[in-house]
Amino acid sequence: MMLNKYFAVFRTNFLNNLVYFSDIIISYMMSGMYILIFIFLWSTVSKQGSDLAGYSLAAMIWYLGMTQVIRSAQGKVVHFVSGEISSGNISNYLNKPYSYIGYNLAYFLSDALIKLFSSLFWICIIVLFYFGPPSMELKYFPFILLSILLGILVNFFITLSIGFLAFWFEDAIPYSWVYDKLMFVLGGMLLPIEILPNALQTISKLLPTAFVMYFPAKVFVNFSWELFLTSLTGQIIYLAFFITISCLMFKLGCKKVSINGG
Amino acid sequence: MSKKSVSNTVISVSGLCKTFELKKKEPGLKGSIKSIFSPKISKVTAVDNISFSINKGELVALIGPNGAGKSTTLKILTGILFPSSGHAEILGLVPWENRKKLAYQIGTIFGQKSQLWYHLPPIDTFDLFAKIYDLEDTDYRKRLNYLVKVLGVTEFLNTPVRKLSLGQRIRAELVAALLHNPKVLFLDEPSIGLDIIAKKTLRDLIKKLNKEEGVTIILTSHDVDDIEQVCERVIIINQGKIVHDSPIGELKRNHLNKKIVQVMIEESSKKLKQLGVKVLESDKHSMKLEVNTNKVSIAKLVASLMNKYKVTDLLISDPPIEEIIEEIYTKEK
Repeated sequence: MMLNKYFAVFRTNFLNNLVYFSDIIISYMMSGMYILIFIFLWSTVSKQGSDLAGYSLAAMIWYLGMTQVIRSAQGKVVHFVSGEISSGNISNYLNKPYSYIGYNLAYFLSDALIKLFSSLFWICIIVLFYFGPPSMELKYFPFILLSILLGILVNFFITLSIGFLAFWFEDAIPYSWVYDKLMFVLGGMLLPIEILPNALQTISKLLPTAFVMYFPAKVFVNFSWELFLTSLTGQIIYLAFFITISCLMFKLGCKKVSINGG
Repeated sequence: MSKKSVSNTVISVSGLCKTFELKKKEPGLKGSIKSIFSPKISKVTAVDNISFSINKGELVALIGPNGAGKSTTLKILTGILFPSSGHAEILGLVPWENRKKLAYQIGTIFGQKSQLWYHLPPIDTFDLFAKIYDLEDTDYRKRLNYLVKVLGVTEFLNTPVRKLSLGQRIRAELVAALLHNPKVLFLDEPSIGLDIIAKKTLRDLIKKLNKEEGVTIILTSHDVDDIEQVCERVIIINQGKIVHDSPIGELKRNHLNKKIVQVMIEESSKKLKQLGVKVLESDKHSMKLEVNTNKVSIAKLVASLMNKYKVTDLLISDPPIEEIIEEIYTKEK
């Protein structure tokens, strides 16, 4: 019964997205463009030396394709939440009998579902055309999916916490830029963490960004139980940490809400 | 206070204050740099020690000019804002401590902020709200059928909200706010931007809800007509303080007894002299009059104007709310 209302939010936002489904599909063509650029880039690198830090060219492209898919599914949580706080629109949510965090989680998971499949559609067409299917055994698929989903959840609670900074600061967006750049370089979005210098590799693999991007993508291209369990442990720890942080920030932030005018 | 009125009290507010912090910046580049290192923060008191109580079934207008503190008061009473000090209870619940529990008992409309999903038809938002408020499916269907009929929403129930007129949208907002049978309804500027016909429909609906369902309603507005035609009691707020609290009849007798009449006439040099009429501006082609309706009726004045002049145009309006407040201040001093 309790979860019914959040499922209803998920469903309503899903319907909302379906209104412009063709627009979403077309807008995610860009994910396909990115992966084409990566294919050309890494094909050139691959010709100069065969070693790609333990990745075959196909595995490297599938890895980067998967990071693009995960990125697409993340949504603009910081922009949305901080915008609602700054504009005062948050008042429409605070007077309803639900958890504001739960509402946003249901809303963005619904977004994630559509965006993930829209992006996956284009990336699969291109990567399948050049390299064929990934070397993934179907029996591992549920675990891969779990790893991706947990990564999306960790990212949601990190970005939600960043968005909640708008309770104290006029603009939370600059903080999300820092997070995005960390994700890009140290999270394994631009290239797998193994390619970074050793010291940076050690640090990067401990950061939450790695559990959002690098580990789920690597679990997809190179599944092993050890890798999956490492990913799962880190994701659960960071999830618990950022759920606590975001709940605390919301509780304190609500006392700071100031809505000017009607 | 009698025992009966104590048990009837739905809203009680005592010594409520809300102060906002406002960051100030001096103009220009120098001011911008200075504000980074030593920001100047001033405090603005939006609600200043207000106290009142409202009984079950009352229809109360909370009025005042822009920035008076009406919306802030409403947002505190609905649990959206935390007060800086003071106490309030709605149906025995402290709003900011029991936000979710209270939400089941109250309905809200913030005229400038829609709660309908913009790209979806209203029915999708209603279905969502039924789940959010944990309504049983049969109860929801029954209530929805009743509301869409009463509020005239049936014809655009399946039209995306983005394609609705403002009047239609407000009616749909009302359905959303009333689906869960709230005992108290907070309407913040519900008539803002509506045309005359839509305003009339909305006022009739508000009266109907209050009369037939016994819903306690608090309405904020700076439209004098809203108050005159809908409410039984008026609380006037200015600069965060309550400056007047009385039944509407008393306010009408003492303060809402003036109308502004602007008359366009064909060239004439005749002077107008009538009891209860003060000429504010006058030239050969137009006059601006302030009419005391306790002394002369508008109908009588218009008839007299028609006799005396060749009237080409006529406009009757209320004095701005700021003038009424100023008058209240002057009289009470």
